[in-house]
Amino acid sequence: MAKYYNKIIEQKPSTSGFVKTEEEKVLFDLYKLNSSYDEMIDKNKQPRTHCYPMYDRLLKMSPEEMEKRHAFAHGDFLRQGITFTVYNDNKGTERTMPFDFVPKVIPQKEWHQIEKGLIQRFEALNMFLDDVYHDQKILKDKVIPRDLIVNCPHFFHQVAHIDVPARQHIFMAGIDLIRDEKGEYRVLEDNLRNPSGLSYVFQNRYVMRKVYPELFYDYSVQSLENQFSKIHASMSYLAPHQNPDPTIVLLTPGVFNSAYYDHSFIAQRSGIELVEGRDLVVQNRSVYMKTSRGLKKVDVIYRRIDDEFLDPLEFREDSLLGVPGLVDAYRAGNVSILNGIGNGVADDKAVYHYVPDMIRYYLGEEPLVKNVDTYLCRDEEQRAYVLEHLDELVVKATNASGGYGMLIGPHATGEEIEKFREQIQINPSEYIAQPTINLSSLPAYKGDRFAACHVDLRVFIFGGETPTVFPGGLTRVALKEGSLVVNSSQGGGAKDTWVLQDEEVDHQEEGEQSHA
Amino acid sequence: MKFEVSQTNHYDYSLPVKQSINQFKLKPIDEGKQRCLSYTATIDPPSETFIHRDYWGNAVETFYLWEEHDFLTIDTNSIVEITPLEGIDEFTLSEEQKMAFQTFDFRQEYAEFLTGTDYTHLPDEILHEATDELWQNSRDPYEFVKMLNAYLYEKLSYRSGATTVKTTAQEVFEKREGVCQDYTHLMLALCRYRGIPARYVSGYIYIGENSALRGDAATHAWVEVKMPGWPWIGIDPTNNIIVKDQHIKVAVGRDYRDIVPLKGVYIGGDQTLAVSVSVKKSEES
Repeated sequence: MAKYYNKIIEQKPSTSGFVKTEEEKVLFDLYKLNSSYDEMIDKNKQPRTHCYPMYDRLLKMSPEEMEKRHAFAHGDFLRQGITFTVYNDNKGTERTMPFDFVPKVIPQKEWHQIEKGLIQRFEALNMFLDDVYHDQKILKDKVIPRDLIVNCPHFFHQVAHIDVPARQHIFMAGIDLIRDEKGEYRVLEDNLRNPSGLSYVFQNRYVMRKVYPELFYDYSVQSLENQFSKIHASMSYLAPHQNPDPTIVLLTPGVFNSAYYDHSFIAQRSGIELVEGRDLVVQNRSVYMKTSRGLKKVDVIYRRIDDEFLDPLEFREDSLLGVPGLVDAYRAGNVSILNGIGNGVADDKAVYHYVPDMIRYYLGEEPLVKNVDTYLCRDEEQRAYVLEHLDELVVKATNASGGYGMLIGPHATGEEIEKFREQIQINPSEYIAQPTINLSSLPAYKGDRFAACHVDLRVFIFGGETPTVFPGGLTRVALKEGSLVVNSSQGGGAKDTWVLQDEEVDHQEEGEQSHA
Repeated sequence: MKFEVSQTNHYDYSLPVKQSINQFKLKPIDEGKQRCLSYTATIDPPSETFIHRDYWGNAVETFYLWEEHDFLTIDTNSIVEITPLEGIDEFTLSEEQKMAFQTFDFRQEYAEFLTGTDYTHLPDEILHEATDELWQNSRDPYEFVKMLNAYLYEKLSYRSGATTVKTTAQEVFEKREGVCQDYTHLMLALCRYRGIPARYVSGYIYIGENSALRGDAATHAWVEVKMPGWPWIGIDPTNNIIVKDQHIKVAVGRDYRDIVPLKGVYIGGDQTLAVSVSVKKSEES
């Protein structure tokens, strides 16, 4: 375990890495730091302590070698068929998510803080969901405006009063984190419906280990090996009637869905059946799966179909993806649906503004990981401010996802700004605004050099007996230099995310000063 | 007043049907001045029903018919007692009550009933056009509601078959004809626009000897409005009356979607539905 720490000490007196070799000139001399926080290189152009061995390794790799490996890694993704479909581009194209091999490395101490903060958030969000679908205490106590919740398009009165197993509405949360100019982590967005991307986390690691094995030599990275058995245990724990041996299925809309790869990967790796709506039936308030040996009772459904399409009896009657009667079986307590129906009311972009208040209200604690400041356009005063500062702010439509329906003021044309101004004035409650945050950056490989590209981090939190944070995550990178949009549908790529095991990392926070 | 209400919904299928799942909201609500003294629902082919209360307080029953069948009958029978709300023909809202409409707390408490829905959405121009004059000429929101009631009664022609269950308030405003559901949706839109909480009510109307009252085979829909300091008050724009004790409430919600009396999903042939309703004054006292 002391491997990593020792290595640093060992290297400290030596000059390797500080000597400008040819490669370094090529690859890092052109590395431009901007006003954002760079996670690898500090203001004095020196690698941060925990990145030191990585930096050193990168310098030792020749440009030819890098090029070769880069092509190999890319080919690996294609061969495995790891793709996603881009909506709204009319071509219905499947793309691979571009992969950048410089990983995000998270020291243990930093990770502990993230873990604590996200579990706190996860618990408050879950209590909020249980509350708004039962007694609505938080609304009665006027902590959150009632109309924002009950008139939210993702608030589904159909699931009011339903007691879900273990009162857990969230099985898997995907919380997006960014780091501000000071390097402080902040929550950008909560995803409590169907967060995707978990399969990429595994694939990124797989490719990374295969193509860049030596980068791991200096680090003790937390393994992802056993995670699927933990995920399976979480699903089992949430089964109705505390059934110790539940039948679990993953319900997918089918192969044409953009995240189908994610669905099939998770089903396969956690050892559960992958089914479509037509494979399930509801009879007398229980759900059954059609098998070659007749009907088999299903206890847990990890669904990757949106709420509105789940049950034509209670939601959209034109849905062919869902299962008639599913909500009634859920209501009867005979099946668990993960994530819970109606979770969208807690990850709505306007409701996000109130998550810190939820934490204070339900847990009596101060939020450990802060939000990004948010202006609600539904509020007259805040709207006035937003309309006056459109060129500085990021404006988001509350009901759009994936970077669509977004205005990045400083990068927008006058025409785009005017279009948003008009939209905000017509439907103020459908917009929120946030200051433009210079997301932190990490080096990304650009063929002949490294460029500082903006990143964010999706962290996955799982419910179950005790909520746990998945030791890794999906680091998304805006590969277009200067771009702040990291969404894969908008040209973003991914990086492997390393959570370090070594307790010794704690000491290195102090060591950083001596490098600087 | 006490009523015996019975309703029969009979489906015939062109081809046998199986794996049928159905949901109905037919039980008269037990709320305010209305008491549901007894209620039974009988399904044929026989099936157990599972009951739950929805977000709006309505009783919802679900049943499953797995095996093949070529007809389906749902029979409901209930005895309902209604005490009319006193003093609702004529009252004036105090200044304080008038102010209450605009308060944050009031608007929050009735948030669901102040918002537009797919059925009630109308463009601002229409909302203005339809309500400006009435609003200016009324001394308080309650008078506005009564004037609006008369206005819609005059403005729209009652014609069964002119519209469908999917017709929106905007279509009704443009066509100027419809049935009780259409009168109701349009009135909901106009009340909410003026900040008056309003909800959709489905139920029955007792026509009795008074054949002047309109209602399609006695199943009916109307509006309830909320005045500060008052319970929900029923307003029936199809008949231009204030609801007393001849309207039997079954379900309430934001619009038709929340109160759909009967729906189902099944595998099999086309269906034809026959509905018969009877509302009688109860002899027992």
